[in-house]
Amino acid sequence: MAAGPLHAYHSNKIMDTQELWETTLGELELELSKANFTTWFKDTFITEITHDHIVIAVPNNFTKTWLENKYHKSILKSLQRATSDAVREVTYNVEVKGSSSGSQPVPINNAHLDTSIAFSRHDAQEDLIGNTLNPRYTFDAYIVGKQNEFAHAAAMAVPKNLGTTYNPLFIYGGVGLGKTHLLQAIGHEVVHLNPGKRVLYVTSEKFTNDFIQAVRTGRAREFKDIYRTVDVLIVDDIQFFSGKVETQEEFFHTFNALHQQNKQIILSADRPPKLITALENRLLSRFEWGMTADISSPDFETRVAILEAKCRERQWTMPQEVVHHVADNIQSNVRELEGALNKIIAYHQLKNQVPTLESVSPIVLSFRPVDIIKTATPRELMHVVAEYYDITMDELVGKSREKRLAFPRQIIMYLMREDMSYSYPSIGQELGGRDHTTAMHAYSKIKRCLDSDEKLCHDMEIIKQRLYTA
Amino acid sequence: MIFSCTKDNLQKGLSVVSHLSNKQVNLPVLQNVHLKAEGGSIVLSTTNLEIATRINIRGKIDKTGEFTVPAKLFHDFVSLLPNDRVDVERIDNVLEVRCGDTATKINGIDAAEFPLIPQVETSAVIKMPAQLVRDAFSQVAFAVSRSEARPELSGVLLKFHENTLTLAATDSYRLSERKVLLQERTQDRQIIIPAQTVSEVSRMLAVFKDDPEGEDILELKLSDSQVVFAYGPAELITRTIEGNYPDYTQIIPTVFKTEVIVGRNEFIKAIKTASLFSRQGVFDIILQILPEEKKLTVTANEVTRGTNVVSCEAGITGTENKMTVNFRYLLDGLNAMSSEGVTLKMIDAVNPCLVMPNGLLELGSQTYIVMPIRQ
Repeated sequence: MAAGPLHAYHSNKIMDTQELWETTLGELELELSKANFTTWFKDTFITEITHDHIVIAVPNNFTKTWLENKYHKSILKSLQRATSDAVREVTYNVEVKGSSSGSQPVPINNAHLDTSIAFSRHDAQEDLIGNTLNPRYTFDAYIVGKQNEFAHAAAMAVPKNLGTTYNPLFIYGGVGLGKTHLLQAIGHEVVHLNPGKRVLYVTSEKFTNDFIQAVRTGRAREFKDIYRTVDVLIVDDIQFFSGKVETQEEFFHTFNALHQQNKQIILSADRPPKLITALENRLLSRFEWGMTADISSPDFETRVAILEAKCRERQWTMPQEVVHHVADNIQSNVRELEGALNKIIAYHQLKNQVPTLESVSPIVLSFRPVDIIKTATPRELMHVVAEYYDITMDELVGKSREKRLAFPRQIIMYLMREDMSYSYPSIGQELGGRDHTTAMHAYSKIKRCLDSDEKLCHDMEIIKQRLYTA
Repeated sequence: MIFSCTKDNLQKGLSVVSHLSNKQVNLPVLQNVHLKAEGGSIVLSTTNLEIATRINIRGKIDKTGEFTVPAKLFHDFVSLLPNDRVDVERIDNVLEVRCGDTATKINGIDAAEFPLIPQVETSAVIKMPAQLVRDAFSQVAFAVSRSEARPELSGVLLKFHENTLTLAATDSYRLSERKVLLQERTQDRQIIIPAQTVSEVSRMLAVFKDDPEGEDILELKLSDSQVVFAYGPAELITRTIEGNYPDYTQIIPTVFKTEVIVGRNEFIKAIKTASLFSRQGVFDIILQILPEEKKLTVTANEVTRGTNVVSCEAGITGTENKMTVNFRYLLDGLNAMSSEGVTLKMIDAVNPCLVMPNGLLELGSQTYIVMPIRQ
């Protein structure tokens, strides 16, 4: 690949197209009147940088003509200043934000299949049901690894046996691991297999807000009409229901109404139903009726597969060693993996350069400095664990050896040893002056349990996530 | 710039262009009309940066030049002038207008600040019957979606096929379609034009409606992302809406259980009466078809106000039927028709209902569909 002059600029500063344009706009704003600036530069952005040529997207032909004739010189000059004279040519292209990629906004829900516009029933339903699924989240785009194959299999089974086999389906896992993706993929598949089925995807927050709104404006009936007449109800992140008594009650009734008619219900949360605090028992037992499946952090191979798939999607090639480096360093969650990849692509496209280990590592590092560099202190660890198991710090370091206290204590000891490399005597010391043999016992016990106890593994993961990402 | 023309010419020109120029707050010059006297013609233009209109008016040019003045003010002012010759001259930043006994100075803005109207490279020209298109616009445009959720539904579809132009608009609760025959065959193509363009073109056509000079041909000049509507001396340049219009023909039912012929005015009156008793915010009325009694009844029921039933005599073929619809949607459709009678075709309470005019002239050219309200 020929290294163009644009390659050289800002070699040690990561700057993507957006930043470059912001810088330029910043300069232009000073030269122009406010009215002119807002009129002519609203909704403009850089779409393409190749060699020494920059293409700027403008919202309409008027803007295009105006920029070409009136501001071209200023724009070119500012861009040159920002790129140390690397830019030679600037052209303008009419393009509307958002429609640039794909160019076919195909809303997917039961009311609008992409081929027919099957009129929606009117009423308030359209507003609520319309466009709730993101077209990007399909099964095809979902990468299956060890950590999610069970959840994936269960999800795949649902559209084929709506409302019968796994009802409700409950999927849980930490942040950024693909719960929402899986949930929406089910929605798409249902629409695909059974056109005409009404799929409603909401977050628990939306459900709550809709409910409050309905009660406040005296339209509770409408709310019921909407939520209780769908064929598939998908509620994301239901852990946020915790503590909301009224909403829980409404959800309980909605759940029953749908379940009785054999309508499919799909739920997700960041932890298993049992561990969601302040959730009423009758709801809890219902969540566990059907199928519960978990998603945990992807292993190395899956992370590599995800990166490769994303590269293909973006039509971008990255050497294998670089892919491995990224997969190695960003471990905990898929969303961050994708974010890092985006940044890498933006950076290298701008510089017109093939990514290498050297050029990528600052991005990988800078991307999650907190996560990778952060080391937690024993204090923080104890706080997190105490909070997780709902006990006080005093109890934790106290004398009592009740099981509800002893177990969290052992987890702390294990983590201090495993993650922080503390010596056994100092671990004992930290936890209320206990003997070093206690710490040794705790370490080996938890280590043994981790092999067999699913729930413990899960707890451990959440604790780590909270500890290192807080 | 110095020019003279008749008050009538100037006023007509301004009534075509001046409407487009308000609303913009960011850039004051967008509220202005651009006057340009050059090469034997006086050109007035305005733009809102989505649409631009331009008109040539006849007049005598003494000195070429250009300037801009507030469009609404200038239009209102010219309308009140005596029917006489108008002399216009630009002196520095002021437009001096003399007509009859009035002498006026209007403050304006230099023409260099006025947006350049993009050049359109025309790839094809389609000729359309102007007044028919104007009617067709008014018969479909009201059904355009007001929501921005689906941009392609926020405009009117123009579909050219052989020698037929099909116009359609829908907000996904109802759909209005109108077919217009063209003089010549055209290439197959589809464009979606913004709702505002439709109303501006209608305005343009209306101004010259009774003008004996006005030719009845509306030209549509096509290019990549823009189109130009040209009518006589006036021209309107607009962006088109990108995206694919949904294939709505699939959802128009073809097999029905009940067909009803009813007087349009009688039906409208019945609906208006019933509408007083429909529920606020729901706008529901119930249509009931009773073949034995040869009656179509319109019923509305609102708990606090009362119940109303109006029957209309109707010619009915098929079975008894019943559906609930939004009265506003039904009225919109009926008002867009002009025939004496209309045909109503129904399947059941959950499928779309078809309304068509049954006059000989309109037969087959106009279709309106309303979705029922689900109970």
